[in-house]
Amino acid sequence: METKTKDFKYVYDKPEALVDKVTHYCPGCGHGIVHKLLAEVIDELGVREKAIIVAPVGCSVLIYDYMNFDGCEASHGRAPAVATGLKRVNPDSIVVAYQGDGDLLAIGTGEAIHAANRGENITTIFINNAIYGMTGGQMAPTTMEKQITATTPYGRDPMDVGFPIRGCELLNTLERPVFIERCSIYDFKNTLKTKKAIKKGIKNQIEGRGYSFIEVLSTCPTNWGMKPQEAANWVKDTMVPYYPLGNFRDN
Amino acid sequence: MRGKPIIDTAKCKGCELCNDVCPVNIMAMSDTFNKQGVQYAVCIDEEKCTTCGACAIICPDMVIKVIKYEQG
Ligand SMILES: Cc1ncc(C[n+]2csc(CCOP(=O)(O)OP(=O)(O)O)c2C)c(N)n1
Ligand code: SF4
Ligand SMILES: [Mg+2]
Repeated sequence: METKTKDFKYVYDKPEALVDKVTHYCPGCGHGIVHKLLAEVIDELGVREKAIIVAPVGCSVLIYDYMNFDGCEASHGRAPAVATGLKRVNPDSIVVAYQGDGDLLAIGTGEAIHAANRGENITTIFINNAIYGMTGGQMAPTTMEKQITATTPYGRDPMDVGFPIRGCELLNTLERPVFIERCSIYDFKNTLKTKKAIKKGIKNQIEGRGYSFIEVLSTCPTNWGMKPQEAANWVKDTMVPYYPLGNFRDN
Repeated sequence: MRGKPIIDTAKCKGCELCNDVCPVNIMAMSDTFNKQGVQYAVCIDEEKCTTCGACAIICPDMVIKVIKYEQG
């Protein structure tokens, strides 16, 4: 990324793996930040020609329009199954399943768990924004206790709908995943850590090591009813205490 | 001047995340509006830019690039 010219160099330039266009995301949405991190990693590892993004159903449904490499849409929750097929048929490709919390931990829980359990050589990026963003802010499996959403107008009541599900901890009970880490984009330092985790997840795949799972605590300022910086602070103050950041497994 | 952010103001959605992330507080929002109808990110003191790249990395919309001038 360090493009040199005569009298200056870029400290930060648009990654080649990112398409130069305005996304449909709301102002301040965490999806945009994670898209950039993924594109930077794909560039740095030199795998753009081999990369395939599997898009979920959710706000990031059009991610293949923003990534400057191949893409494939999966029906809601089925990204791990589609990614499995793509990877098994094209073992040299680098397959990334990018999924929201509704996609991965509600309708697609089965696919997510079994792809991880089979140890598929794919990389999953799990965007936990504690809500169904695309459909207008309904409760997700990861919605926080007492969090107000369109379907929990009095706040999530665990005695009614259960406690928020911790994806990393759940998958960490399985034998075959090689890398499980939870990170966040709520500030600069953690954003860099998120990039590092994504890089490790893709590297594992290049080396044929197996299944990597990176959970990113992200923001949905629109459906949370907050300004973007308030949303970032809410991740730090409300989500992180329940969803501890850090590495769960690095084999 | 060590370097500076280069801001594609037309693309800015006005989220203000760069304002908070800048360690030397030189990012602010414009008084005027861009074609998207939002106040966009501006750098109010390029002299102070450390070229850390934080604003560019946090920007969800690829609005900001950061350049560093070569020595001499
Ligand atoms: C089979 C099916 N059921 C339901 C829906 C409606 N639907 C679209 S997106 C979505 C949830 C999206 O939430 P999430 O995965 O958290 O993504 P986000 O938008 O928050 O990034 C739902 C339930 C659908 N498209 N298909
Ligand atoms: S609704 Fe939420 S998740 Fe979807 S683009 Fe807007 S801020 Fe992002
Ligand atoms: Mg979601």
